[in-house]
Amino acid sequence: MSRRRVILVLFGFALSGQPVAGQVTTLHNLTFGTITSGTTTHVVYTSSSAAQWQIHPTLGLTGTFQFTLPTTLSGPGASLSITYSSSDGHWRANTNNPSTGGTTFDPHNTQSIALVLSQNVYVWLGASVSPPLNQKPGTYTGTVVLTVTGLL
Amino acid sequence: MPVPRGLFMLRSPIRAALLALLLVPARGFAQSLMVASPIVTIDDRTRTGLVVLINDGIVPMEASISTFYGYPVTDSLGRMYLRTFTDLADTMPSAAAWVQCFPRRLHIEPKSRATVRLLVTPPANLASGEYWARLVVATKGGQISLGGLPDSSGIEAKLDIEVRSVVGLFYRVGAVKTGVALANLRSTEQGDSLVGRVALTRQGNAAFVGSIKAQLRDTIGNVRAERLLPLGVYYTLEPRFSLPVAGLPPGRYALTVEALSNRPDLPSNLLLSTVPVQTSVEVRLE
Repeated sequence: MSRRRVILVLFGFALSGQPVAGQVTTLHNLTFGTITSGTTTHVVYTSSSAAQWQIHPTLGLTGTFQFTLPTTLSGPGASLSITYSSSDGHWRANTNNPSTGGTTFDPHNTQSIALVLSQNVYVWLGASVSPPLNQKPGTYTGTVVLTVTGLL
Repeated sequence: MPVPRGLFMLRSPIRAALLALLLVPARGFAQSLMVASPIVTIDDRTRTGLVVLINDGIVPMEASISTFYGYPVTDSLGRMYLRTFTDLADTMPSAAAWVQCFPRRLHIEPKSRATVRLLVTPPANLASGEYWARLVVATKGGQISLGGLPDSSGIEAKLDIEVRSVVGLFYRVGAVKTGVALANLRSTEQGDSLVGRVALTRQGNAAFVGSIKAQLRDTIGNVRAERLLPLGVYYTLEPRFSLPVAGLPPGRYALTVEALSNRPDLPSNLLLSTVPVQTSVEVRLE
């Protein structure tokens, strides 16, 4: 096989690869800004501070996605509550803009999606924190889990 | 004048192709995981398989892979979801406990890929048929910050992100065949849609992974609405589907549902082929 043909074959493999089930990308962090003790800080899903993900199935995807949400954040003092309202979740197919369409959902509930080739689903999540006045200073942490399941 | 070496020594078609690869825009996402293989099929001759994980992000990623047992079912409204079990009966065709992953935990550098090898070690004298598991690829990347600069009280909150991707694993022993029987097709007109449901019962000894195609035809046989619903029938399923009927004149139509052994989101070579079956009912639009 000539060198040229070898290179073309390798190039073909590089382009074709394997069928890919899906790609989940964290696009944006959820940022509350300065937290003031004794008040509630709420980031809505339309805010540029909301968390954002992109689900991209290369071949398509029929399935679900769901969040496992922490209710408290652990830190040096008493647990810090974090809450999610029934309208803190939002998803939209193919458009990376939550403010003009899409589906608002309760992030506690599973969402079904059906995508065809090269479509994307964008997912946004907001949340609230309400540290009491006597919350002990320090860093509080928790883990949110996004599970994407292909129904096949 | 010296001749440029490397890329520019190649002939123009090859050079153009390689340049095209180099010019693909890089996506600067912080945390991004691709799971290759939308479905993993392993047979009893090799008992091995693999899953490729690709970190397309710009930060290293910690990944872990595990298994559990579950299959899609429908709720009372016809919505599909993955049913899981906390306790497994011996009669369940679960392969989850037989699948070993090498490695189970791995570190993937940015813009690189890693291969997880799967080995199935089933019990002896396993009956012919298909055994199922779900692979969970869990990844952790960077942290997302809930709090910017701490205020005077010094409170800062951080939220770790974990992304889990679940793909199906099918372990096939001996001769496997599948099919599906259709029954109880019915529909109601709801606003600008015709909402239908149909009962599907799996045949054979393997899951039916395919689609149902719903079509609404007028009295002269023209297709006036169509919808494809990918699904997997492991035992029974009674999914809901809807067809757009806005603008269709009132009158009699034929609603047909056909079960096909292919689906748009999966390569056909990974699926078991079946003979298409269909069922029809007459409907009247008001």
